[in-house]
Amino acid sequence: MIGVKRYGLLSVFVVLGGLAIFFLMLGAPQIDTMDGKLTVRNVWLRAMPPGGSMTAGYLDIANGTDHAVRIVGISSSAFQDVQIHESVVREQVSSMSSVGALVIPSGGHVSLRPGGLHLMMMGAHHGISEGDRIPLTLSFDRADPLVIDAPVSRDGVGLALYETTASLKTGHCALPKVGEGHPK
Amino acid sequence: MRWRAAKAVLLVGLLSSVVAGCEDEQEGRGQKGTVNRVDPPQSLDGVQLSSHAHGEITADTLKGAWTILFLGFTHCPDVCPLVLNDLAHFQSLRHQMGEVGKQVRVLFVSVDPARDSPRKLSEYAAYFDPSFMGATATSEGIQALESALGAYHRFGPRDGQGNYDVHHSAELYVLNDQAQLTARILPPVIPETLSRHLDALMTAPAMGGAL
Repeated sequence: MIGVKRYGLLSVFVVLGGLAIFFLMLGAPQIDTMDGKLTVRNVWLRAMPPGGSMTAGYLDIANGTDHAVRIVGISSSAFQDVQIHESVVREQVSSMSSVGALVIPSGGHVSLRPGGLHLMMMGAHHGISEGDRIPLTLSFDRADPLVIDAPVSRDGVGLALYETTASLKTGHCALPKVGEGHPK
Repeated sequence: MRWRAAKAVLLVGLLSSVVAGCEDEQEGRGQKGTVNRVDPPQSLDGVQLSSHAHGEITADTLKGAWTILFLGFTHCPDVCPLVLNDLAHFQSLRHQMGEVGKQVRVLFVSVDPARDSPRKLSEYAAYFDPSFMGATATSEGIQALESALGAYHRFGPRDGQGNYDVHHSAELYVLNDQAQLTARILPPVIPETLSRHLDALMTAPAMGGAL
């Protein structure tokens, strides 16, 4: 470990490597397989403190198809609006910015996790408490929408593993296992 | 080039497994989680905050116990609840330790008084841990606090529904039992590590401290 301080970039890699291993241990997308499907895992919404009207949602999405897939819309009957935001801490200052389009590259995955990319759930129609399940619809440019029954947790610890998949519209795979809504 | 890349990958793998296995090794590397001591400690005299559950909070009322102060706003869906949840785990750890002299207050101060009333803040803070204090101040009061802490906030633009983000300092401010700023710590909060940092700060006051 001696001399790490001298190598700023190296220490960044080290931290990233550490995080990667940490997330792997948490059961995050392990190996992105080309299974011809979009797979959503580890979905949860943060329980909303009393009097709140917004909260955050998290998930991992892996793209095992041979096309890049774009998330074109997210909605929930429990919220007025859902957007994708990113929390950034720069120069010790925390801020959030809206992420225009989220593209999951072919063979890749995107993780929405606390303190980084997240679903910004705005205008809650009712309280969102630990133990609730909240419907969430993810719409894609080239796959049928996925309807997710997202569990609510205070900190996302100890949730049962969650996995649901969708296939490309243009593909000849089976229909999504979970996914009821109609394509827009 | 390939060899260098391979060496880098190998190093990252080796080092990160060390990091994953030993959190002590994380300390002192990068800025996250490291303790930046304020020496001599900075007085918070003149600071005045309003709390529903605790009345007026001033430097005088904060004396007698150590305090961790965190700035934020309740419309913050991601970072603030994340840090406050971690601080709640830290707090239960301190409570388990039981020693009276080691108890630390957690004070959440909203920099968004237009949306966060003192009553709302008390409920919000107590949601994370019943012992947490929530407070805010007038914009002048917040400015005075931020100037004492070396902190900052700025309001983002409003969207169609009138929602706005607040950019704010994301550090934990550690106040000693004389209500002086004695350290700044940048999250993420690892409860056990933070607890050790607090013990170290408590047992080794800054050289220039007025103790």
